[in-house]
Amino acid sequence: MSQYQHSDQALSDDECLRYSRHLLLKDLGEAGQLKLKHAQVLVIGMGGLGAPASLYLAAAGIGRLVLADFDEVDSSNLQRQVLYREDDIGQPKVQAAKQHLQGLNANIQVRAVNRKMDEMLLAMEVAQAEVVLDCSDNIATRYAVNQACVKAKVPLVSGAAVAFDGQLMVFDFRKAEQGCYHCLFPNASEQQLNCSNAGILGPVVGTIGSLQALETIKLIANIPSAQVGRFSSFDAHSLEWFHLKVNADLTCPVCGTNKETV
Amino acid sequence: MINIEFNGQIQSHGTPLNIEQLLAFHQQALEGIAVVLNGNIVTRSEWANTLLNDHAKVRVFRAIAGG
Repeated sequence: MSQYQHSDQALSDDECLRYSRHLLLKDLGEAGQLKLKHAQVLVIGMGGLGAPASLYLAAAGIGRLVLADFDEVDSSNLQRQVLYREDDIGQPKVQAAKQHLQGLNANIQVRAVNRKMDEMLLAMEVAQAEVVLDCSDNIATRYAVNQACVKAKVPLVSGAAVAFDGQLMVFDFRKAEQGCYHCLFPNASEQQLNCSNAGILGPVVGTIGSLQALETIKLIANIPSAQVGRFSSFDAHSLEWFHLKVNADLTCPVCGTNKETV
Repeated sequence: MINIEFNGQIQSHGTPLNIEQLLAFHQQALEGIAVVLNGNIVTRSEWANTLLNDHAKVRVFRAIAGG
């Protein structure tokens, strides 16, 4: 165990050195760094989004990272999932990720959930997290994660990317009537495009995953963000962003007045 | 006659129409889409009630699942 984990109220000299570029930021400072240190963050999906997001979160000193995935590293992942190495092929992603992230920052705790989470496990993991990152690759998981975050009132940083398109959404469910993923896309299906059937350029997922880490850090450190309650679409051809405020749908079965199990 | 912009293309319509009718006119697949009218998202429950004015700009975004 590292010496750093013994101190909860202040940063050690080594931590001050390590995070000195954070401490220089007036919006973050030592108080913000301590918040990062004491935070638990759940990353769901350790592919093209989860890889860069978790690298930045580990480097930033998020105290406890929980990584959930049930996939194994494949050679076709290495083109964009920059956390993994050729030696990892065939290994569970979360196991390889944990090893690399602990190598990057031994002062944080990384826990791997190497299984498909059922509703109960998902609810339990979400409830323990300060922020949840949806880095998944399918609609069913996106709906399940959104619903669990709404129920537990845990902020959700949702990213998606395919081909040359990226999407980023931040929902702070600690606040009332924020709207949710289901309000925005009420009837999506698995027919939607994904990386396996439409392709993906590595830096596109890298861009969105990095922004998910950025928004997570801001949520934890209480740094105001324009992205809360906003849907943003990124066009990697033009590098243009299109931003939209998400309106709460009062008839939404997940977060609206007609709540039911969906 | 009213002109409505749909995903960047302007189209003339002889009769007033709502969002649901506009999507049908353009044979837009309805799964996993968000509809934006003049810069604001219109929730699905409001599509049939939202009548489009002349020069309305409608844009459709599709959910993507990849990660």
